[in-house]
Amino acid sequence: MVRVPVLKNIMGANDTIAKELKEFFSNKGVKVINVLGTPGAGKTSFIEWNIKQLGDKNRIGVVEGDVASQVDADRLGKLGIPVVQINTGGSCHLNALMVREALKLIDITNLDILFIENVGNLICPANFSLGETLRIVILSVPEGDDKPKKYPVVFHTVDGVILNKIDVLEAFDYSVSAFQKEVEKINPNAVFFPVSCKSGEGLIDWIKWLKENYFIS
Amino acid sequence: MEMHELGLTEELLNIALSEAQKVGAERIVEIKLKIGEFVNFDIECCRFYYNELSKGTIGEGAKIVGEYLPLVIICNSCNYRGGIEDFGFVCKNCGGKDLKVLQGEEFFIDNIEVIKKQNGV
Repeated sequence: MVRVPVLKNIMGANDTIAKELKEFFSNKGVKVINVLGTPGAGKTSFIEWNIKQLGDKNRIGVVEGDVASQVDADRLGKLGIPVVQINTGGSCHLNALMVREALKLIDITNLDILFIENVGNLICPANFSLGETLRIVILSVPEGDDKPKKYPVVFHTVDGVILNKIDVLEAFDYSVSAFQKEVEKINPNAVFFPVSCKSGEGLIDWIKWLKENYFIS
Repeated sequence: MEMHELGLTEELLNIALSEAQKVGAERIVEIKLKIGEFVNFDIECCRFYYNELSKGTIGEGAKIVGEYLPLVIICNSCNYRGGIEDFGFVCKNCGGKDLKVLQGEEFFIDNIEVIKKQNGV
């Protein structure tokens, strides 16, 4: 028997396409926001809110990733923006190849911002770059404040953490400061925004930060 | 639900088969992976998929071995090089937060063990 050195990156195929996408987005001047999060945390509501706030000065598109259905695409399509739905057919995350395929259905040259709503999951999407400019993760109060401890990798890979549904804080035994402390421990560079996509609380701060740091008008 | 291990197992099988072919192997006996501590990858799940995916290939029956690589960082403030505690990205030496990950995010096939074809057979 012979041992043969291989030393080949298993994520290589995804990373290569992601790198191409990053260059492509950069050349077209499109800011791409990869939105990760748990199912039901409010990813679609958050994107909806962003479209309403930024849509007057920016051309926005969305790539929606779900295991099945057109529910989210139909919802966002009502805002009059281009939306492409990817059904992953059972897969737990979006990969760069899926995004590249989806881009064939959207005119990226006419966009300033592209949101990519990933499949609701805190594990798999963490390791798959989509060539994004900015990666955020959204969680919500009813899920509990212990998630950073349980899913450290995803928190380490993001630029920002959004805690949604702070309007229901009183109904839950949830410590925002404990959550924030855990996030800071795993990722001291990530920005943190507690928000409510229902009342709008905190969202202005997020938009302000986004505009200032990513040159969005 | 189809977990991401399926796609990654397909990927690693393809790499192993192609490398085995290059050296004229008739069978792959073992595939050795190196998996960073910060990569979400379940090796048991991979083995399960591998057994199905490799059927009928020269990789069928190969043992999948994984070595986990712990997180190692370097502190840009004091040059401390080493591990961190409990996923806290804080330098154990000076408490600095400007750290660079040196190890723990990689995921690759280190080597494969193969049986080569006998000449003339």
